[in-house]
Amino acid sequence: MRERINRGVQKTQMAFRGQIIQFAWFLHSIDDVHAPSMFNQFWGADPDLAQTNRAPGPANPFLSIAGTSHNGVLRQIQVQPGRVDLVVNAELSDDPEKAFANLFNYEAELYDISTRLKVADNPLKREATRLSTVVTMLEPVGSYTAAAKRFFDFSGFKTKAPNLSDLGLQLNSRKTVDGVDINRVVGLSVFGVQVFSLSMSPGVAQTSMSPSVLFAARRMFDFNTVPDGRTLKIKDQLPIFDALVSEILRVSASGTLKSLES
Amino acid sequence: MTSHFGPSMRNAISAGLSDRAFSASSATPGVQGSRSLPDSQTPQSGRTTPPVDIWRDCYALTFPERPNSDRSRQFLAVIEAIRRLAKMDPNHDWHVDEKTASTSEKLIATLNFNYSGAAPKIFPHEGDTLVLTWESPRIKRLLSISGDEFELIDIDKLSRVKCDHLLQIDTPEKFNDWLSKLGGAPSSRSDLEGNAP
Repeated sequence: MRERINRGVQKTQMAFRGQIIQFAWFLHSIDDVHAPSMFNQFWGADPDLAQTNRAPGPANPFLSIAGTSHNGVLRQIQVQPGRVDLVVNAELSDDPEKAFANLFNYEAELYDISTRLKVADNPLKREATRLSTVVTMLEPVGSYTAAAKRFFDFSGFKTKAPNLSDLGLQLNSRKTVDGVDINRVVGLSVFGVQVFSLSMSPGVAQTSMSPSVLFAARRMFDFNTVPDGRTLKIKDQLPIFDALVSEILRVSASGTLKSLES
Repeated sequence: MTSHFGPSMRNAISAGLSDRAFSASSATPGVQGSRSLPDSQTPQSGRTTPPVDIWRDCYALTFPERPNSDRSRQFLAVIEAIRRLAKMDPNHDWHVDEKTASTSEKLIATLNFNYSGAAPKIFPHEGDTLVLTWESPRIKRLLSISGDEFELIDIDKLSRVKCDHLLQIDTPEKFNDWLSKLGGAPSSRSDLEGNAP
């Protein structure tokens, strides 16, 4: 696995950086799974923020959540009925003109998470109905046109239609890896951000808006095991996560959807 | 389990905000990074107090911390309702025992995140039985849950013909087939944003 990840690191186009990484365990029962203790077990420190919730609902779906923000990257464990998520999420930069400054090296994060999962010997020691790894990455670019070019390059789709907008593509290609069926959902789009601020001072409220829209090409790789009624044993889970990560790195590094053909 | 934070923090978390965002919103004027106001908006006291961009950090690039689809909200509303029924007075007609509530919640959570169908509706039943219902234009489907036992009935709305299903879930394939009957096609996406079709 480590070699496969390293190969992916060498090949991947570094212009794309990580926005969100998510490892998810889908479980029938989340009894006695507590986000703060799992956070400590996985990242080796108590979380800065921890919350438990007796009655999760639409406004707050979590039974427990624990997280720490460091250098603009929020790391969390989320527990809600049916699933446990390990999330790494880039926060918007303080500077509206550099909104994407906190995007992270997703390859390094994937390697770090994979290593920690092994060191912790899979912190969630229970059978799962499904496993998932999701990586969303962005490449900040100067214009919508530049982001659209990234979209066309990866998708292979070509058009000479003028004044394009609302570009988006999502597809799924199933594959069997080591006897496990996996969904390989790939999403491509153009991402735009404009920052609004609400300023407060005594007696005065003022809104301001960053003068320009910042654009990025967006790629989302949601690779997960197909729910087929089987349970995934504890000893099989880390190899499956390894396979999901390797496949994400292979497809993202290829720079083309043609890589889904194998 | 207890909540360690007050409503403001809970709202901040559920709104997908970072802990830094919450810190900023509760800070006092003059924190690092504040902007100056135009002269015309200088506070009348004469002392220039830089404003605080209280929501500056609130814009996570996306909001993976909460379900943002109507479908997910409906599933979570059902789970919340079941939990509240389980907490009612045991003598109340709507009370659901913990075993039934737990079984129901696990089933609904599984359907939410792994299948693409609609959320069920619920109504409590006498004797601690909970009934989940799904409706199509022609068929009404009722799943009765009592403890860890299930009973599935389809009712043709026009003819009123009832069909009892024998639930055999002794193999993974049969279990998946049974879940698909209730939850629709298996979903391919697994991220928190996109668990709705």
